[in-house]
Amino acid sequence: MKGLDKLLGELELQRLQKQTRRHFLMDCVSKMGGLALFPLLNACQSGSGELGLNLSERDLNPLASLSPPSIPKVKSVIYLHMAGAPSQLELFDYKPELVKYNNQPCPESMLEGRKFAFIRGVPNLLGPVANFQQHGQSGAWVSDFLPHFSKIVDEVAFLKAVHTDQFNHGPAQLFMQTGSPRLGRPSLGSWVTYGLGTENQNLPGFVVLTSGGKTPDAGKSVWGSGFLPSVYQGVQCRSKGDPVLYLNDPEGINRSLKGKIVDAINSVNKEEFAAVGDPEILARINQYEMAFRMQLDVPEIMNINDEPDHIHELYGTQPGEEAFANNCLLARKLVEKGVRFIQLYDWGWDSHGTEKDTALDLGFRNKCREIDRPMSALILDLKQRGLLEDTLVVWGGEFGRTPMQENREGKTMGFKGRDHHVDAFTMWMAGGGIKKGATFGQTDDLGFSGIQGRVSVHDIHATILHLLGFDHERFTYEFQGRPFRLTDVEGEIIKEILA
Amino acid sequence: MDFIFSLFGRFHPVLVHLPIGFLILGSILIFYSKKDGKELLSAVRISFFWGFIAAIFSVVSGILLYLKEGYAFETVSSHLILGIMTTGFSFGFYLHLSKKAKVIDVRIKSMSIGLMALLLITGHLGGELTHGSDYFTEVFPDKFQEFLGFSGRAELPLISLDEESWEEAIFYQDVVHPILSQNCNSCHNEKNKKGDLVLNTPEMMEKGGKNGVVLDHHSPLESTLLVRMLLPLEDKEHMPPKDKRQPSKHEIALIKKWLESGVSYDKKLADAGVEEEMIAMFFPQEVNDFYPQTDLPFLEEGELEQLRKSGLLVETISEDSPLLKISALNLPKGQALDLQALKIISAHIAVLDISTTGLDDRIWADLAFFQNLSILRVNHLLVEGKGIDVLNDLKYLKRVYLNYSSIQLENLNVLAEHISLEGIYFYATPAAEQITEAHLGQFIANLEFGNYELPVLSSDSVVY
Repeated sequence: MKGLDKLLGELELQRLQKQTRRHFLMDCVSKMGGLALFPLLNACQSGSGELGLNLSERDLNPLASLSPPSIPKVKSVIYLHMAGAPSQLELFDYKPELVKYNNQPCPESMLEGRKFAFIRGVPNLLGPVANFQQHGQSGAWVSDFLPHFSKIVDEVAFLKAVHTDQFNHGPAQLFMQTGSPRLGRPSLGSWVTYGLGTENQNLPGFVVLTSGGKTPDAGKSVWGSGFLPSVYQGVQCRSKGDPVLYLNDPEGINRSLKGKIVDAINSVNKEEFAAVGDPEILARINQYEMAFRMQLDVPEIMNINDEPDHIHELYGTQPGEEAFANNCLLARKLVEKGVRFIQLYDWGWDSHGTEKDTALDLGFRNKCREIDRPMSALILDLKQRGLLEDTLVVWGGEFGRTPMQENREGKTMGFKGRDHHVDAFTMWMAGGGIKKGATFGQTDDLGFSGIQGRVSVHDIHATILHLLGFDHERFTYEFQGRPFRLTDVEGEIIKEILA
Repeated sequence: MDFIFSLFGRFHPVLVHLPIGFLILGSILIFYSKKDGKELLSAVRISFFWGFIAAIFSVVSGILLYLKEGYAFETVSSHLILGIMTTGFSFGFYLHLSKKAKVIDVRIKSMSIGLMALLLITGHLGGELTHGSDYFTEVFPDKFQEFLGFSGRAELPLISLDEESWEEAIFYQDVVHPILSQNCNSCHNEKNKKGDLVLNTPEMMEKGGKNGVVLDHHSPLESTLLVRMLLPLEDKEHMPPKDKRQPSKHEIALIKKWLESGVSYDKKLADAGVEEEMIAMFFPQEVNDFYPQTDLPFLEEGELEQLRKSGLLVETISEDSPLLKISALNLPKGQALDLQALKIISAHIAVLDISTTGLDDRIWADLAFFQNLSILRVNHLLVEGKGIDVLNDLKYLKRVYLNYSSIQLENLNVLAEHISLEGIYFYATPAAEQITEAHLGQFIANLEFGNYELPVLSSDSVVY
């Protein structure tokens, strides 16, 4: 009984907290106005929802699957984000001129008016650490750091001159994922889930998987819902151990009892919502229901052990470990089950050359090996099941790396590394609606700036939304009195890589 | 002395108002008189006499204007003919009034109504020549214009190029002119000359506006035309104004290229050094021909809701298409799916996913009714493919997914000649094991059955 008293006491306290002097004064003011306003507003009300408030079908069932505005090319997206920003000059952007000028001081004209994260003074140029070769019928240049990927280049379209305007990881990752370098905007996956809902009612529409030992520098905001209802934020699944914690019912609790508990909690929440009208309560109600439904499908889907051996070999999975390979395999399984947006983050690409792990010829090569087979396997596995026809795979970092060797604090570094670079880097896309084997954009002889086919982060977002059936200029959300877009006031579809 | 004629011609817009005034005055007087009265008859005669004289002047000046100002006959023909008719008619009227008529009778009244009608039509046609045919309609609200079938904007020239012949297109006429029309025309045309600038003909562009020339032939990239487009949006000088349609960066790039290539009005695109990628976005948009073109009505939301209640995922393939995508993805395991129940709306179904529903080869007979089916997913079904030949009758079918089914190659072979079929996917099936190199060439469709592997390389295990 003592426990119950304590609970009742807390409830009373909570009730009282809602009734402070300020609340009283505020209520007086607002309700006097409200008295006059009420009949006016009442006339505008088009109908009242289940909870006595003006709620749309969408508010009550925010994840129901919706038709896209126009006929889509793809229904799912797998976005492979290499957090830390891999060097395009060691992977895709072959610059023979840079070999010639290896270890020569960088021309000052290139440095004028530029700011770098760590480079100070005049750094030396650094020739490509990897060896390049052309591959496939498209003749795309890929380095020997990605031997498996080089066999599937004909499935892929490269963007060689992507640029951004943020040279620090956090803001750049936010920019790449939310269209704004500052906090508060919804991520790409949230927009997509908001626009399309989720096909599989037992799974979230937006799943996030991480590998590489750390989550992105920008924190969980890179898969946050920003100003959209929080039900649209990415659901991060653990990459090691149980994908979702407490998925199994505790001993003595069966599913029907669990159902009753969720119902009871939700009816309390609905009352609370009717009292305060905070839409976040609706999100909470939906999340309880989603969690309850997830118990059905998630254990089976998130378990890669049931996959046949040849699939494990194809991906090079490491069961039980946190690995990019496992996440790639999971991504395919989720797409197969109708999940809209799967975001993979692989951490550890920040190759400054400060130590062995961030050296382009050592740690960076290890990272390349870790993703080479899995991402190639993902493309092939999607292809052989026909899923690549209506799935878009996007690969990229948040920015690129400089053609110059990093000289932190003006000193020569012990290892080969490159600094952050915003002017030009490479991304690739594959899947439905993408022109196979295409290459768009070109950088100058040293790989410093794009000289042709430059595309911005907004252009990439516009293209992804286009493939999903959205016009990025019309796909908006009303917030703080104005409609917001993922692409702000910019972005043009990159038609050159569309089939 | 020739200029006298031109000058007189240019007086036409003034002179036309005289006959209009006189003839209307005469008609008003006709209606002022009592029945069969004759008090005003002489006044009416005078009005019609001067009306006729003024009409002659109008016609003569009008013909001079037509001859001297280079109007095409087609443009002025009806105004000209009606103008001469009006003059003739008013002369006849005058003769009748002065010679025959003793009183103003009903006949005279009806004749004057006829003359008024003629006058109105002639005047309106003349007005259209000076003010444009959309003079009245353009002030209507947009919705009303659409309702009446007018839309000024839709008539602006658009860039229409194609992959084969773009090199031959004239840079100014086919690219620059449409871009300027789309972005500048609403304020800089003959009728609405903001800043005295008109941008829709080469002559007027060269002339420039109140603030000087807009094209700089010596340093083309410094031309005001381009410079003001490149100013930041917030800048007061930025053109087009902030709240108007802004040219895209591709459009600006093309204007820049045109200036760079010498501000020529007859150069071809290829000669001006335009690369295909600069104009590729103006090539005809690929029409979505993946799904069948259809004029089926949209199904009632209630009908769709009924289907959803059975656990199916039901939605249109896009907001503007009546075609449906139906999936059994959310159907609880073991719950039976009745394809027969979908038959009444089978024509609407373009995408059907009945994977993992436990159905067998009996589905094929039912699927014959789904005439607009484009994507069929029957993964994880116990189908060997007996009866799959009915798919040959589905002429819009593009993709068939048979992954993890029991499909046999001998049955699959009947789809070899299917013309619309683009892909057949049968990963992890008996057919995937039976297939040989020889079969691949027989199919029109692309076959995917999972033969991919990434051989182990020595570098796979090197740790740096």
